[in-house]
Amino acid sequence: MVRELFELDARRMNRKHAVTVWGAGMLLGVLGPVASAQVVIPDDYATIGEAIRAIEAGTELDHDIVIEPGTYTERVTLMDNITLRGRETARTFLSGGGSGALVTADGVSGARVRNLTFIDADTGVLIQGAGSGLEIANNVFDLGGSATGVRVADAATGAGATVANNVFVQLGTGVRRLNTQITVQNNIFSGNVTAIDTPADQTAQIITNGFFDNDNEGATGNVPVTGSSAGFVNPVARDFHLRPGSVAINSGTGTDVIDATVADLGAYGGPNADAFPFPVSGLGSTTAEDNAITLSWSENLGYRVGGYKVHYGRTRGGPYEGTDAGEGASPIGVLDDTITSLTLTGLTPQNQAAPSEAPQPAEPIPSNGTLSLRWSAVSGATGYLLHWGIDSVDENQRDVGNATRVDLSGLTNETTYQVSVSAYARDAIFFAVAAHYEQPRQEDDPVVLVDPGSALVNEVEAPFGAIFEGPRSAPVLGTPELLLATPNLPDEGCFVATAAFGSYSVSQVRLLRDLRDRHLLHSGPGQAFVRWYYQRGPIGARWLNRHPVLKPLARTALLPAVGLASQLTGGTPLLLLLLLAGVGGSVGYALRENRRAGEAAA
Amino acid sequence: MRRFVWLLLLCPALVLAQPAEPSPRWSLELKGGRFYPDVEEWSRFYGQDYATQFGVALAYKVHRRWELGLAGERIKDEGRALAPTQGILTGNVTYELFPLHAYLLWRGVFSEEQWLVPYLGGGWTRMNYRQSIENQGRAEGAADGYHLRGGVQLLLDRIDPSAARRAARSMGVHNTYFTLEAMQTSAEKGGVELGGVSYLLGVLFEF
Repeated sequence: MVRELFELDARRMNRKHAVTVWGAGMLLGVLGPVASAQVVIPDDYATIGEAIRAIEAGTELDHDIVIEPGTYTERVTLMDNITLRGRETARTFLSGGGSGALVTADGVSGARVRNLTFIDADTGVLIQGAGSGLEIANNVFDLGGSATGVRVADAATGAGATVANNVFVQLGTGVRRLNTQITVQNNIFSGNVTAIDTPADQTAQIITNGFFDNDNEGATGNVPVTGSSAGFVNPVARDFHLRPGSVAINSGTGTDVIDATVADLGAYGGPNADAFPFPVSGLGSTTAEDNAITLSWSENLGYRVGGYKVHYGRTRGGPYEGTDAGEGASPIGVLDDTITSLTLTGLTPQNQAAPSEAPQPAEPIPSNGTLSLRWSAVSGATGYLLHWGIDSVDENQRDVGNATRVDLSGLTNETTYQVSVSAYARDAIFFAVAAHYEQPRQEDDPVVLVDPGSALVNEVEAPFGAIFEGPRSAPVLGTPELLLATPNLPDEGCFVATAAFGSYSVSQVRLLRDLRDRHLLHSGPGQAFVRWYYQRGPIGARWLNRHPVLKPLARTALLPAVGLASQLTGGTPLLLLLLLAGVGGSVGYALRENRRAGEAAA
Repeated sequence: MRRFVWLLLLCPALVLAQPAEPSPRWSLELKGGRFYPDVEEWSRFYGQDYATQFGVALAYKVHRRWELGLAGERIKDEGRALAPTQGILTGNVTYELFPLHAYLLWRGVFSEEQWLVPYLGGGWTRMNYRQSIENQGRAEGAADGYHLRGGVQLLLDRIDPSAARRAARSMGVHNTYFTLEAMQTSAEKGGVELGGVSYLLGVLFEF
């Protein structure tokens, strides 16, 4: 009965018919072929290859291999009458590790490959030998720039094969076909070098495919659908569901299993599409008031999505069995796909006790403007507060969440800080959001969300309520400072002096380095000057290197500083005398150079 | 004893008397090993007294026993910096050297089937460096210097002559050697010696 319903010409169906058929279609889409039991990867066999070998050996009787979401790095050789299908196209990846053919159909008959995303290989499906009736449906081929999605090895291959409702995206060649025995129907070819590569006299059986932004479309066949964009939701995130208004919606041949309307093009249309929306991302939370939390997420732009269900509970990772929110027990329906936030109110605090122990911090590890802190975890704590300051730990406070090691940065070098840590307890809920398709409806009918929703792959912890702080640890002391690496090497071209004197290792530059290390870094104003110089110095050095004629002037300007450095760092009077003599020489040289430059300009 | 002396005298003559063989012009060597920096207290900051070194060398034989080559290497170690006023080790340091060498090499080869070939050479070195300190930024630069290298090459073709013939036919590799090399490098920057001693093992293909 169900199959007969799908034979109806959906173009002639009215909406009420569509609603009736939709329910049965959803059931079929979720449950799959009824007659056959399933082999589940990785529950029954760790790899697809193991399952196929067991079927070939006769130790496994079922031929319907269902692959749970995940990435499977293996190459598969099909056998007769086997069905290989992912549970969710968008989350079930077959990867080749960069080369080879992911699935090889060598002379097999009646095999099916459905609902998979092919990545990272030279070829998605290779068809060779004298098989028949192969079906490749509702897959995404996102293999890489020079790869081929479906490749037929020779002209005698592929009798009765169907390549339907797939997405071929950013490939060298989408489908390479050598005869008309392979039907290519309802696919989307987007951003490929060549969409369909087939001999010029072999263009039959190419029906209602979509061609978008390909360099060379090849044979486009009957009733091609074209445009500048297929209208995918987010190709970068591999969400190839269709946005509202996409020209690929209801443009195919046959009927959609999801909503019983005319088949969409692409991986989520036709009779074998999976029924799962793409997972919801971008989850976040803010505490609205003591016992209320505002949850937020990113909109799922798939055109069939009619709303969301918000799952919440008190246990990390689920089950989400919360019941105390004023908005209802988990899951809470949001019957509008454009609404992307929900405030849960009236949450009941369950924890009113502060941790009884103080964390035990280790001695802070200093580095440049930073103290690295670690402390022992405290039983019952949901987070930690950091207290620090120069004269008192009460000067600053930061909530660091449930981390037990933190880098406290933005501190002043050569200054000693006191740091203390306290543990706190605070209530929190954990929440996740599923997108749901809506049941087809008339304009004024209420939205009815249908199961299954998208997978709950993203979870967020949302703290709320008062913080119950435990005792603080005894303060520990730490002093950040500039670090010295061994060997102590210069960064070339970064400083005005190096640029002016031409080398990092000349005696004048060494004197200035000694001045920095032995005097400037040991006083507050000196450190401030060094920080300023580290920011501005490279700019000045680059400018000076672009205007070498001014280097004598720069050397002259630096000589007083070099002389001072010589005295402060224990330089000899002879060097000072030489430097003073150098001042005169440099001034004379600079004046001469400037005069020459002026004469040349005149 | 007299027989031994005769044998010694005959050896060079036997080598010289061998018919002329086609000698390969190019060699490509892949090598790796340890670099012992010429820096005091290296192990205090980096945990052990050496760093790891990998490299590749391409050489051209201008004469049967003389070759000119170019080599590039990477030396890397990770350690800790010093907080100078507190005298403690803290903060991660990544130290990398990228030496480039141009060199002239003498190889004591008298026959293409000689199983042990000593060699000695040296040349110019450009020592590029990069040093990163956690929370503090990076220092980069380069220094010029020199290097001396010496070692032995062990002909592997004699272990499996048929495989060697296949390699020659299919890939044009005439000889394959296992190499043992010691190298002294020197390049100074700002009073800091960036060089050191390397001990390297490698595989060399002549084609």
